[in-house]
Amino acid sequence: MRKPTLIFLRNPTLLIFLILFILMLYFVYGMIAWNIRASFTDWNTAVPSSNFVGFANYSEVFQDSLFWQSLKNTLLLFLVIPCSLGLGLFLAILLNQKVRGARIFMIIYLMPFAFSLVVTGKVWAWMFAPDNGAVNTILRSIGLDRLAGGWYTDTSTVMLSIIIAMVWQFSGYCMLMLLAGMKSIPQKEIDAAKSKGASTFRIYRGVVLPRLKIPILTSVVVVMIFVLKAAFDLIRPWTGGGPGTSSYTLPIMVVNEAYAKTHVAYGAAVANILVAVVLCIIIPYVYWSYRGR
Amino acid sequence: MKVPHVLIVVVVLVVAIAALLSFRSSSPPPPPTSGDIENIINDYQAGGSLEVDHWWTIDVEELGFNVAKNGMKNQYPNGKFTPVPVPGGAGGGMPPKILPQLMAGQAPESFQSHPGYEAATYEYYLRSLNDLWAYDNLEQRTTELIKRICKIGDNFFIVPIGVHRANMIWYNKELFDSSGITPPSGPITFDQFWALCDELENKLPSGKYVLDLGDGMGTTWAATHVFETIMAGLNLQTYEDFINGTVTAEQLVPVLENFKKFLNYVPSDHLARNWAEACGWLYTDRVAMYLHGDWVKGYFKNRGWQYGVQYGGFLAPGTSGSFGLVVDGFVVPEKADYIGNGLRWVHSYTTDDVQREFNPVKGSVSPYNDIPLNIYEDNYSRESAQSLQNPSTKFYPTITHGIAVPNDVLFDLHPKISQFVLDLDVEEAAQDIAEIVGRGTYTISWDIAP
Repeated sequence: MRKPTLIFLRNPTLLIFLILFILMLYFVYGMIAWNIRASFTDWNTAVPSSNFVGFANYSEVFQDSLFWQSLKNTLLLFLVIPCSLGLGLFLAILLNQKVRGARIFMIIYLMPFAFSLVVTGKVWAWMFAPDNGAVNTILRSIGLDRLAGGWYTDTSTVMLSIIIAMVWQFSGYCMLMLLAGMKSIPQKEIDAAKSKGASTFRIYRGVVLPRLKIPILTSVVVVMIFVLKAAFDLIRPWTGGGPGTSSYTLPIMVVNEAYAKTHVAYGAAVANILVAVVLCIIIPYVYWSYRGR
Repeated sequence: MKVPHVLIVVVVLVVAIAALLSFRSSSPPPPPTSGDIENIINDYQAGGSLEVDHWWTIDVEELGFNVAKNGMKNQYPNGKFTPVPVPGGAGGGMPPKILPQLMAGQAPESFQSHPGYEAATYEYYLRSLNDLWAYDNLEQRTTELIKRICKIGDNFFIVPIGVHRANMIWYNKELFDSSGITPPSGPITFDQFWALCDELENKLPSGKYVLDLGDGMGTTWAATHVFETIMAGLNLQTYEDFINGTVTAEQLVPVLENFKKFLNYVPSDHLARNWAEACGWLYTDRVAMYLHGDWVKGYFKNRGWQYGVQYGGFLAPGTSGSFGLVVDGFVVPEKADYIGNGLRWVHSYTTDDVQREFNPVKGSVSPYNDIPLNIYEDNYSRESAQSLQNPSTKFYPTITHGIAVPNDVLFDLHPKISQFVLDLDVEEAAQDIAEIVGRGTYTISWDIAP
């Protein structure tokens, strides 16, 4: 057998990947394993404890009405993904036309993606302020007073307000990915479709969209990561999970349980359920996307 | 494409150097033993780092913190002071930041906490400060109750820096004057308070409100603050039972009924404002009164308002002779790198100079009885400081600000109160809150009812 050092000398990139793999194994999968282990213990104060209690924490989680509300809200947030993709696709199609100033519009649409989530929350808190926020002011000025509601101060519209803010922030990224995908399609394929008399709609449907499978997949994964991040970073400073608990999400519940109340094992159980939910969504989608390649 | 060997060597070297640099190049000094406190405090040339985590991030609070910081730097100029602001009033943002660090043994040299149950949460990770309390004679300098709540078992774990009073209603003088109403100058009952609110409601112009809540933008605790103040005003026995974990739903019904009445005078968009923005509404003549702690004085002072001129305050209904105790302080973790700097920090702000400058800026009163009353600019602060030192004052420790109940009760209470503010279901809230309180693990036995 060849000596390992020779393997690395002949394929030096293996060494780099090995270093990265070890780091990821420890900091990502190792920590997930640690969290799974913690969720089966009685560690529910600030003092670490490792007595095994089986599924007691999970049983308590599933009987907690706040968990189900938080789960529902977290799943609602995933609506941000198709909405961002849809708006991103629309913007990408617009920018794919040969218009003057397309580059400037692209920067404007992309800029929100650079904002901190806390800043986004503050901006949209002002925009949605019931008394004199921009949204209600505009609605009232065009005679749509009926729609000028409480937004994030109202339990029936708080999640809608949050979703709108997230779509505003993440659609620019989707626009960028999809536009890059469109620009990589060979022009002759588009010209060939045009020469056969295909309409613009059929060209996008039959030629462009099928070639955007990978940018769409990338956008879905990245936006999902940011949605899960925003489920705490955006919501906690903005609504605090309120009004009441109407915008509580699983990440907020994890932090509240594990750190504020020092119910570490309970919080770990909620976190593991969140990971499982995300995997149940992402794994089938990735498999479906790569099927047949 | 083959990667050149040189690049491989560079990558490996960079990773190795980064790994080495992640360990400190010089070992921090060994943690001081308990017999060293005099040497530690008198080491005015001490260097090393001092990281202090705090939640005083809103403008005037930061001004107060900077006074304490400058006091430290004046006394110990060679240390590298790094303040770490952790937003989230009433300390709500601190646990997720500090607990992982404590568990990992990577604690800062000091962090802000409230005494009582909040500091007790971290007891396992904290250094006992008995030697510092003895060295600075703090037991003789502060009140019995403050001493008691700063102690967990036989050890002092926190050093107080300032005291706030929770049970105050602040009012806009201009709105009262223009309504032809004289603000209360003495004790006020609940019936008198509701009559005042009704009169203001009838006389204030449209778009101006009687009260605000300031429980928005993530500061749901402001609603809990109002709840506890109403409870203390109605019945201190109920309050005592609450913080001892034995309160019943029946006892909570009248509290919630009065809270519901309070909310009738609050604008419907109260969730659009945190406590500072609610102060802003009072400052801009949008709201006539605001029930909140006296840290709001710093907010108004920073905007050029003078107590007794543009605004005033009176004790919340039913709380005459009572003092809702909110104590701010800092703790020193066991496993910080430069524990000596942590000890020097908590010592530095108990000194005369820092106390004299800090409290007027922050809007608090000194927890120490050797600070003269003439440092306070207005009658309110002087009277508050006198009340603090008066043995006949009825103190009740705050629930909202971490002293009186365990954290797992408090952080279940906030969303429940927030839910009550929305649906106003007194019976359901009373049952749920009694259940939350009953689930807690209580290690402090309170005796506050007369």
